[in-house]
Amino acid sequence: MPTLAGFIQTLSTGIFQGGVYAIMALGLAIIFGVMHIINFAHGEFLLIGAYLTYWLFHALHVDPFLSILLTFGLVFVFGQIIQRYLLDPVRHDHSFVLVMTYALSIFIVGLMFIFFKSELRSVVTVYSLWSLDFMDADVILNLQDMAVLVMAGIFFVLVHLFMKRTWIGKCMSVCAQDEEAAQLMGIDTRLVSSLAFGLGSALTSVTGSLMITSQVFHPGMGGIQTLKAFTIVILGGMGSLWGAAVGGILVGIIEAVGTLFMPGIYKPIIGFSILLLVLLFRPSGLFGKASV
Amino acid sequence: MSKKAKLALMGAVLAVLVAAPLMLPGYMLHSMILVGSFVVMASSWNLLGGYVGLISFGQVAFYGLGAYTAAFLSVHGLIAFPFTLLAGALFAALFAGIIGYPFIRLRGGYFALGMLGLAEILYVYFYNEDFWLKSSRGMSLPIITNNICLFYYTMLGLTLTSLAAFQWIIRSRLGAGFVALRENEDAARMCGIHINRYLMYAFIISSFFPGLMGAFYAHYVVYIEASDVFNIVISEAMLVMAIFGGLGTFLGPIVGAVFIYTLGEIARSTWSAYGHLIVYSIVVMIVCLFFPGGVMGLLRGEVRVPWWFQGLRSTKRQRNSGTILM
Repeated sequence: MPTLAGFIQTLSTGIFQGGVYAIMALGLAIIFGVMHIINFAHGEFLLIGAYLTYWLFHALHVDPFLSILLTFGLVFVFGQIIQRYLLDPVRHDHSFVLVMTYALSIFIVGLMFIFFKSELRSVVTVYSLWSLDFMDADVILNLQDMAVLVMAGIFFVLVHLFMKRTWIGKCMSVCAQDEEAAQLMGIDTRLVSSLAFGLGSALTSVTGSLMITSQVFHPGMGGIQTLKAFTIVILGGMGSLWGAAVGGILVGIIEAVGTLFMPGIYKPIIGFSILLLVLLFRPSGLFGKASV
Repeated sequence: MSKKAKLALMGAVLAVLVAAPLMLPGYMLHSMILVGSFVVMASSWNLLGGYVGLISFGQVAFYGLGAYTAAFLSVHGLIAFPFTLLAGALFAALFAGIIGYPFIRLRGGYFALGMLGLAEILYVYFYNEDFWLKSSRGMSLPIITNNICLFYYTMLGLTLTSLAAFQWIIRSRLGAGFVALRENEDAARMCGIHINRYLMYAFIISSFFPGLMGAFYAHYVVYIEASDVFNIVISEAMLVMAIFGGLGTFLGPIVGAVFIYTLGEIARSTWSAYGHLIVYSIVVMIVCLFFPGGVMGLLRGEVRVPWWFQGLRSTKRQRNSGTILM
């Protein structure tokens, strides 16, 4: 039976993990919300960020928190190219959009396997193990995890402000509501949707950069992450920013608490059960309005 | 082509296939056995993806289930070899029938997502299972024969029977119902097609054949493990082959399986162990962008010109995105 301290420890692990999940889901929520695209390459954008950080840290000794900026910029451009030249031409054929994002994910996984081999990789810095102890060292909070949570919060606020206050963010909301009407108002929907895809994928890759500081990465783990991101976004309501944040933290906590009762290897099963239950009983999610 | 010429061509192909073991080395026979299994699986994927219009990313779930059923039954000596194939296929279909209802209510990306999740979950389960199946350590099956020709002829028989079954299903009332569903669900319901029942039939049929092939594979390679039979690359291959050949056509998946398997093997043996992933993904991207109908569509003259490709050819033409020129 877990003690109180053990429970608090688990809960904090869940919240730290959930903060990272929230940013991952935020990227997906933007992509889905603006373009109504189900992006199966989502977990692979996470891998790109993680491996870029890994490579920068080991080859050029760039601090992982500093490399976020570079990751963000590079993947922002990469995502725009993908949307403009691969997804936009097939956007009227929904099954081809699905297949295209899936092919993209296979492509990225293949490249990762070829360049980074199938070894487990992670980034361990000098400050990785600095931590604060509470309750006679029964509860240990890692400083780096806290920093990651703070970063996640900052990203959430920035994205929220961007989507609600800036002109281009409002254009994205307009495209999300009615693409044709947006075109009639003189909005270049192709540009706006490629910006949205770039932003969404860049946010996801930032998540990868943040995640690789606290867990190991393997080129084949993108699929599980894609599923997790979808679980969160569907739980929170497709396209809702707050839903993504709350859903992310909720899934983080559920996973952490779940591992108290069953072996950690079955974590994906918990996530998937949530996904199926939500799809079955509440397809619009906890905070969403649109129906599936 | 006249009917006589078609029959003659089919007869010639059949004769070559039957005579193949006399001329070809063992490695080629091995490849042909795997191509045969991919022909069946791509066709069964096509039944769901091409005729019904439900894109699935996780058909490998049924492949793995078939393989483990056959392994379990033959390790414990419950059922003998040729019947384990049927048992594996039937178990996969039964599983599909039991879990199918929530899945067939999903459409488009949600269905694909659900199936991807199902495949991942079964993989995680069988990879760690250590309780009664002890599948985490892999399973060794009793060796049936060392003669590859026997496997070759079994596979030839299974492939031809399955293709005949697909052709029969597509030509029957069921197949017409599937196409009607794909084209317009509401109109199909108006015509008296029981949507959920038809979707369920399609789901079960398209899980039966991967199960059959999985069971065959288990007997063929004798040792199976979860990362092998639940390998997501197998569902990727089915999808790529069906789309490359042409969705919703009978010949498409056959052409696709032969061509894509060969291309993938060449990439894997000459370039890198993961070269086939790059080949698969690039082929799908090219097909989606330029040839939405695949090889069969190209023969009918279907070509799509993306807006940026039009710009490269002439700047004067109106920049429409993805016009299909028939």
